[in-house]
Amino acid sequence: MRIRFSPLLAIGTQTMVPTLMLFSVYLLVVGHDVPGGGFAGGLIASSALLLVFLAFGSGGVRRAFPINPETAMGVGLILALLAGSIGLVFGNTFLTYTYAQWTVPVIGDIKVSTLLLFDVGVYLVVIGLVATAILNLGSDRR
Amino acid sequence: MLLTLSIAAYIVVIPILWAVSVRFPRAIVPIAAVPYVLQLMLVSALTLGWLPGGYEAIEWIPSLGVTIGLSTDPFALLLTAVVSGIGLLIVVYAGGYFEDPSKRSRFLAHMSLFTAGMAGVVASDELLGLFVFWEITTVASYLLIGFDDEKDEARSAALQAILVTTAGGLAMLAGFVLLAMASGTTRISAIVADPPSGTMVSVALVLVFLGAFTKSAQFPFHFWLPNAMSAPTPASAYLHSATMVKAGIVLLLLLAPGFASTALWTWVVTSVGLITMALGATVALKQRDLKLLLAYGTVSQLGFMTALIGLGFTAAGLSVLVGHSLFKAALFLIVGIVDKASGTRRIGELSGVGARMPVVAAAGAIAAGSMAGIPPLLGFVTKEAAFDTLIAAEDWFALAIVATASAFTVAYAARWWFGAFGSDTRIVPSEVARPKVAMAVAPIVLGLLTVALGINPQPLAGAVKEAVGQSVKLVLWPGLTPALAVSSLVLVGGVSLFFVLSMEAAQGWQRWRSGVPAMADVYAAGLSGLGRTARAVTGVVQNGSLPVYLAVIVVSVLGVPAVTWLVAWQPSFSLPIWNRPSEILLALVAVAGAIAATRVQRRMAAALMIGVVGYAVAGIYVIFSAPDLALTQLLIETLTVALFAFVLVKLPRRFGALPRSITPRARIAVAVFAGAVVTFAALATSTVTPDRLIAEEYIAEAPAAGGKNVVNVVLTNFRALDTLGEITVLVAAGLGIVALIRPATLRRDRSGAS
Repeated sequence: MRIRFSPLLAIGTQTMVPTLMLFSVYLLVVGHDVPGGGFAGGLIASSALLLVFLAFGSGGVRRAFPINPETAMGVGLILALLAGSIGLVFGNTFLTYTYAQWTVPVIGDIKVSTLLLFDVGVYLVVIGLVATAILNLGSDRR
Repeated sequence: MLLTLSIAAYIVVIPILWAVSVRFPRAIVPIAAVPYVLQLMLVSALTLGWLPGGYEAIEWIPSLGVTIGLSTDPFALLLTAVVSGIGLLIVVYAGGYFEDPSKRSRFLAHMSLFTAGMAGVVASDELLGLFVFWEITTVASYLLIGFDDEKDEARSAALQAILVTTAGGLAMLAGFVLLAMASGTTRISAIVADPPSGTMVSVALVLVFLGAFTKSAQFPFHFWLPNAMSAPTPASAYLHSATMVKAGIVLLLLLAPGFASTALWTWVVTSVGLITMALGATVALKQRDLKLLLAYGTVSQLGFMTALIGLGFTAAGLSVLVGHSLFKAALFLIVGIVDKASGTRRIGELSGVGARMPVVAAAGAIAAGSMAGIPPLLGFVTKEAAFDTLIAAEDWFALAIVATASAFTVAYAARWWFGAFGSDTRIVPSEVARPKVAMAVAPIVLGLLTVALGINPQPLAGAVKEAVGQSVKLVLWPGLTPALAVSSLVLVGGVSLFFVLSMEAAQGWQRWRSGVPAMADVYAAGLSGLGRTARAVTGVVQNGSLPVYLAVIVVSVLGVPAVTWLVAWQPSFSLPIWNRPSEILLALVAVAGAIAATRVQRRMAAALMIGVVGYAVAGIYVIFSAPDLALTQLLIETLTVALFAFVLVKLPRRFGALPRSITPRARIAVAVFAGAVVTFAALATSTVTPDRLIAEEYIAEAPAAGGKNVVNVVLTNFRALDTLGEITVLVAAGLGIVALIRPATLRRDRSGAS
């Protein structure tokens, strides 16, 4: 696709993308208790990448997402499997999560769980897939 | 737990072997030997009572009742000793056989995997656990037969072996499941203690027989074993004579106490065993290749054991098994030595080898003598015991076949030894290199054991009696009994047969063929028939037309559930048309989008219209307060339209004429069918009110799973395995994009550069 440089889109993207990324990570972290999760978070981050592509082309995507997208997918899948296997180590069945929870004054409850690892895996797979699709299908060279 | 750990040790050394392979070639054999030594020590300690034994169970998949259950009963210990003892000798031998360190470590790693499976098979007391170990040996056997992976025949032999044995293995699994259902337990010892009966059990037994017969190369599945001789000699010696092919026999031995008295067992197992024994012995005699001769000999001996077990003589069968493992492993290893030293293993091309390596020739004489049943070797003692048992049971028909086949065995044993080590003035004496000490150790040790157990068979007799609870007369000098007379007749008959066939006048007898079609041809015909059918089916459902693909997918995905719904249809739709007026608006938008998508002429416009449908559906999710779904739906629709756009810019802007691969009528039919099924499903799922909704269950259980957002708890907890499957599909799709697009991109770049 021919990407014509549009200053309006470029500035809009530069303003939006950090917010979108922050929001995607927020969705990822809080997903277990309020709407969100690895899948939704990954999709928000992916749409940010799409915006970057429309504004700056595939070079922009490579700068904004410096990891090889196939590697991101692979790492995501491995993290999800790892999260599932940790349960086995603690004598549970596959995909049973392990929790730890602390109540910190002022901040509130802090919950750490291997479930987050699973969600991070989903998140990475989704971004990796969309980045793969953008970089391979949306070639901006003619 | 100790036995389980000793099996796990075989797996643990595999990555270590890989790591040391090229850098520390001297460490390969000692490291590979460790688990064998450990297991031998464990077996000794358990046998002597220094360590407490018992039943060790690991519940692997408790919800399906899949348990890895190992028992340290005398049967398991005897066979574990055979597996790890012969295995250790083979490890030492392989150290000399493979000069290239990377091949040596690869071979020993594959072999370690195999031994883990085999040690599990012989010690298993759980049907499903036994199946898992059984299939580990199948996979390891595949890797070892195809070890010389650059050779075409090795690869096809490996494929043949895995296809035949896996087909049998799957039948066996079905048999195990039926057996477990009939008896209510998966513990083998419990099943045989209180054997179930009935039609289901008969079906189960036949299926289990298929597994045992394919694994142990029984007629008509024997053909894979001779082809498996493409494996390196140590693998042939270990898997395809001493251990793996015994797995079927082991299974029959395990089940015999419960079922050997049934008519089905007696008839099927005995007749298959006798046919195999006779067939193997006659075909073995014809072979010119020393290794192939032994392979058919193995087929014959396995038939011998099967026939004995079919008649219920488990003790005699087990004795023959142990005796055979000792001499046949030695024979194979000696062929390997001769082959390595002279460069050939064909009868008629070797001469004077015996004079150049007298020790190996002597070990060969002991092993071949044991195979022929010459006193005072173990083979004589076990064969005597078998004759004695058959005579005592007055089973004259079986005795006649066994004795005749044994005479053939004597003849091919003689042919083997004279073919390998004899001197023939007509043949130029072979150039023989000195055999390596490491390779000579195993045949010598096996030979010594064969002699020692032949002279004093009491330890073996005791072990066998403890193992199967049936006593067997294992003695060197039984006195002047009918069995001794049969043995002598067999020896005289076999030796005369050998001399007759060696005479000048009898030359050319090897070319004699029976008119029966070879089972290998049946296998080949079946395989090519399968290929033809697959091509024919693929040609219809995947003819290269995308509309046809879509029609096939839609019709099959919706058609199957539609049938089940129609069968269980209870028409009771009492739904309000709408809950909120805003729904109507959104529904109208969705319908308008769908209609527009079919009417517009430009591709991009059609993609946008589909996006409109998706957005309208997302709006409905918002109305029903499902923010997670709405968010995901909106994002997915946006990304989909964008990705569509990437592809569509490469296509013409407008739709062309409709492809003729599928007629407009057929398109309408598929579309109406899909719409009808989905509408029906939507109505049905929203009117059905079961006693307890899954949704309520999920909401009730969510706090226990540590989350307040039920949708996410469902995704990451309740249905986490589904999610894992889905992201795996995503990764596969991503790699698919890379694989499809990147070569095209690269090609374009290259042509642009040139």
